[in-house]
Amino acid sequence: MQEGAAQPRAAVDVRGLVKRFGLTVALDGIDLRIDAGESMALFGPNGAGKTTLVRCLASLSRPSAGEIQVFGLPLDDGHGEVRRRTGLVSHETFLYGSLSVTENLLFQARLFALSDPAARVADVVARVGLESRRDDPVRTLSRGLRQRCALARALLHEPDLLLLDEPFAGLDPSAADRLADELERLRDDGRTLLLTSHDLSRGARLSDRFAILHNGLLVADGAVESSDRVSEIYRQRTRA
Amino acid sequence: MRQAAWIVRKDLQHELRSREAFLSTLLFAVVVLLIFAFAFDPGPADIERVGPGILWSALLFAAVLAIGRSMLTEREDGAIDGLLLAPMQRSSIYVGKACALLLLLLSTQLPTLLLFVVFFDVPVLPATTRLVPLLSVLLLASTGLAAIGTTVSAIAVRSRSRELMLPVLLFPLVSPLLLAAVESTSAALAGDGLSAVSGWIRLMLAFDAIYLGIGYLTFPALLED
Repeated sequence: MQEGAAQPRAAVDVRGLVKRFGLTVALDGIDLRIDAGESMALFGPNGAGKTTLVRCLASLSRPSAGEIQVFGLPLDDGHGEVRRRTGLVSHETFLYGSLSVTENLLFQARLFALSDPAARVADVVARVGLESRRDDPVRTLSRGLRQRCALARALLHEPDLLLLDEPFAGLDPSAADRLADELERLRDDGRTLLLTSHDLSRGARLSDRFAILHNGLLVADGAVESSDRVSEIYRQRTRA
Repeated sequence: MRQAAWIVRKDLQHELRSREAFLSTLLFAVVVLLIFAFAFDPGPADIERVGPGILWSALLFAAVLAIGRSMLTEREDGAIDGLLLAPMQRSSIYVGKACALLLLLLSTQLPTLLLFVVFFDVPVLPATTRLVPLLSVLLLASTGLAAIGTTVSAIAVRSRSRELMLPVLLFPLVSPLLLAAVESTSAALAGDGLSAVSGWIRLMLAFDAIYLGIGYLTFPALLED
């Protein structure tokens, strides 16, 4: 399907996704579509399967059954094209504490074989406001600064799809606000965002659509009208 | 494979900064050598008989510390996921980690060998029949240790009882390699040269190839959920 046709292009297309860990079914037949440029919040109680779904989309976890396509490509395309177009921010930073901000980002930029990695690193460091701490070891940064560094890492290769798994976890209110502002800018840039959060109002504010996972099942999927409405649906659908 | 080289560089950068694995591994090996030196005090005649066992006991037990650290750094704050997200063959991660571990092992084993020579008054000349064979055995055995150690470390680090899991998995797997290393070292200390133990050398080469093949093929699956 071409851009601009009646149906927009799917950034993420998940069909019948099942993920089992031994006898535990973490995801039980998930069907989910996110259009390119859309921003979606994924809510659900602890253990609902949000992180598992994000890890499957990021090709960190192999599905037990079902199909995932990102920008029309199967995850395991053999060339890493999907990974080249996907970024992930998690509550873990994926950074090395003993290396500085710049060293960590340069390492990542080289793994992605970016041209002129030093310039690209300087660009994202400025974007997340870490210039004054760029030579400091990551372990000396506060949780908020480390999360900004993690965002810089995820943005290094200019991904079209940004997966955000509980990115506000452990952040104080001002650090969370700053991160939310940056995510709003990314959404306004036209990137596709998938955000998991327990913070319904913040998640709803950042998203065009929302979905709710409960016990590995997708129990709601719709447009965000207001955060109050999202909260109401969340309470209804996640009742035990 | 270019990415593998960046992983080696990153691991060395990390080690130069922290020196955690280098210092603990070297210190452990030195302590083991000292204990044997005081306990046995072997004369020149005994060293050909007990020397290889002393040397490889020190090297193997010390290597376990370095092997254990190898994948642990990748688990801290989910760093391994950062590697898995990169658009590269995931076997490149194995190659990079194994090469970095090999360099770390060699960097601790060379001073350990020097101390072994000094403590036990081991003759290493003429170099062609003693020192060169000794260094060759060290390189071959270390390659095997790094190759299987990286794989085992990736398995053990996912386990809650990783300190127990690592030696339980590693020691049986490296037994043939260690046996060949001890026999070859014995010949090197006796000044027989490598030609006298070509069978053991071929065995070490074969195990290096097997360990590398297993690691290269299985490592991506070991890292995924």
